[in-house]
Amino acid sequence: MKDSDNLGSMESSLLKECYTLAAEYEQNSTARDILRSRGRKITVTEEPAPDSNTAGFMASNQTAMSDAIYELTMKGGSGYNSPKLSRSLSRMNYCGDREFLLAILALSGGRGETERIEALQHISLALSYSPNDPRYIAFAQILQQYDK
Amino acid sequence: MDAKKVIYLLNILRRETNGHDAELNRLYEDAITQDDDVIRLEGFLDDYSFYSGIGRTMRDRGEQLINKLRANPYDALQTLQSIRQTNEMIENEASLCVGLLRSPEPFTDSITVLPKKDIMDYIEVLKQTANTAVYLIMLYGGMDKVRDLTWSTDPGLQEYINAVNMKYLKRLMEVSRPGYSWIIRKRRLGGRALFGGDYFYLSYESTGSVEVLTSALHREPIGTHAFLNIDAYEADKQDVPYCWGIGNLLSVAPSKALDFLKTDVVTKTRSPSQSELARKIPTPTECLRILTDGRPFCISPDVLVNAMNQWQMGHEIYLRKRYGHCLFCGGTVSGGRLVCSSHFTTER
Repeated sequence: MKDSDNLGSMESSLLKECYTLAAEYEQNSTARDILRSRGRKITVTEEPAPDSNTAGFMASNQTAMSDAIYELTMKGGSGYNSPKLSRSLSRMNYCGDREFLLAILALSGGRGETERIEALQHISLALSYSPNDPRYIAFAQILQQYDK
Repeated sequence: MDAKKVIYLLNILRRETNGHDAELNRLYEDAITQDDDVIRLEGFLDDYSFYSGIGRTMRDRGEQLINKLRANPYDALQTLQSIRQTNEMIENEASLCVGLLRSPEPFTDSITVLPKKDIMDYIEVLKQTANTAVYLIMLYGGMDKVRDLTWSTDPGLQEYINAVNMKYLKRLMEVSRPGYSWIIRKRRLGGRALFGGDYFYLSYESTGSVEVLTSALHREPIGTHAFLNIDAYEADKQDVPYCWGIGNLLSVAPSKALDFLKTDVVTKTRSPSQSELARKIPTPTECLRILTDGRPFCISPDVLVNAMNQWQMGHEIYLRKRYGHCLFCGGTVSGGRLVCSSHFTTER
C-alpha cells in the first residue's frame, strides 16, 4: 500500500475530493459509508499551490479577448494603440475572435476603402473559422453594405 | 462444546474398545461437526471468496483439511491444530484485504480473501470511485486526459481494483486542480468596440476571492463546481459576477461519468441559429445544451463564454435589425441600413 505520507497536497486534495463527491452521489448506503470514511481519512493540511497549468488557463483566448474588448470599450479611440490591447492580441491563438478583433482594429485608422477592405479580409478569415457566428456575419454585412 | 476434549476422550474410548466402529465414527462425526474451529473454517469456505494464487491456496488448504478430518477422524486432534492455524491465516488476510479496500490510498497489492456478502458493496465503491475520478479528470483536465481510458463492464473484483488504483486514481492524481476560478461578468459594450449591447467578460481570480465575492449572491448550481447568479440572469444586472466556477462544465453527473468513455463527447459548441437568436439568451447550461444539440458535452470556460457572447450579441443584432436600430450606436436607421451612415463618413 502506498504510504499516505508520499502523497503531495495536490494528490491528497484530489483524492479527498474524489471520495467526498463519490459519497455524495452514491445510492448504496454501505458503499456510501466506505467512500465517506475514505475521504475522512485523508487530511489536507494546506491548499495545493497553483501550478503552471493555472497560468495556461488564465492566458486563454477568451480572457485575452475580454481584456481587448474591455480596453476598447473603456478607452475609446486611445484604446486602439494601448499596450494592453497589443498584449491581448499577442496572447491569442489564430481563431475567429482574433480576426474579429483585427477587423475592428482595421477600422481604427479610418473608415475609408482601404481600411474597410482590410477589415473585410479579417472578417472573412473569422468566418472561415466560424461560418455561422452572428457577430462576424453582421460585421461582414455592414462592410459589404458600405462597399456598395 | 469443547469438541477437542470429546475427541480426546473418544480416542481413549477407541483404544479400550473392540468393534463398535460405526457408533464410534458417528460420535467422532458429531464431535467434529460441532467443533468451533471446524465451524469457523467451513464458514470461511462457504461465506468468503478467495482470489489470486495465495487466496486459492488458502481455500484449497482449508478444503483439504476438512476432507482429511472426515476421512481420518482418529487423527482429528492433529488436523484441528492445522485448521486453527488456517483459520488464523484466513482471518488475518481478510482483515488486511478489508483494510486495503477501506484505505483511501491507491494500492497495488492483490486481494486474497473477502466476505462474499461485502463484495458487491466493494465493487460499487470501486465503480463509483472510477466514475468520480473520470468526472474530476474531465472537470480539471478536459477530455484529452481520459480519451485512452477504458472501462470493462464485467470484470472480476481484482480487475476492478487494478483498473481503479493503477489507471483511474493514478490519472486523477496526475491532474492539477486549478488554483483559480473562472468568473464571467456582463458589461455594456461601448467606445470603439463598435457593436452596441452587452458582452460577457471572462477572467480568472483566486478561488478564495471568488468565494468571498459571490458568497452573498442568489446562486444556483449549474454544475458540481459552477454557479449562476440568478439576479444577474433575470434582472440583467451589469458588472457583477454572472456565473463562475472551477474547471470545465460537464453534462453528466459524477456517478455516470464512465458513460462518457463510450460516447462521442462534444467539446465545442455550434453557433446559434437565426431562429434561436430571436429569444433572450438562456441560462449557461441551457445555452450549452442547445448549442451542443443535446449531446454529452465537456465545455471549457473559454468555449462557454464564446457561446454566450454569440447568443447575447446575436440576439442584440437580431433585435436591432428588426427594429431598425444601428448595430453600432443604437440610433434609428432606415432603408435597410445596418449602421448609421455617419459611422463611415465622419468617424476616424
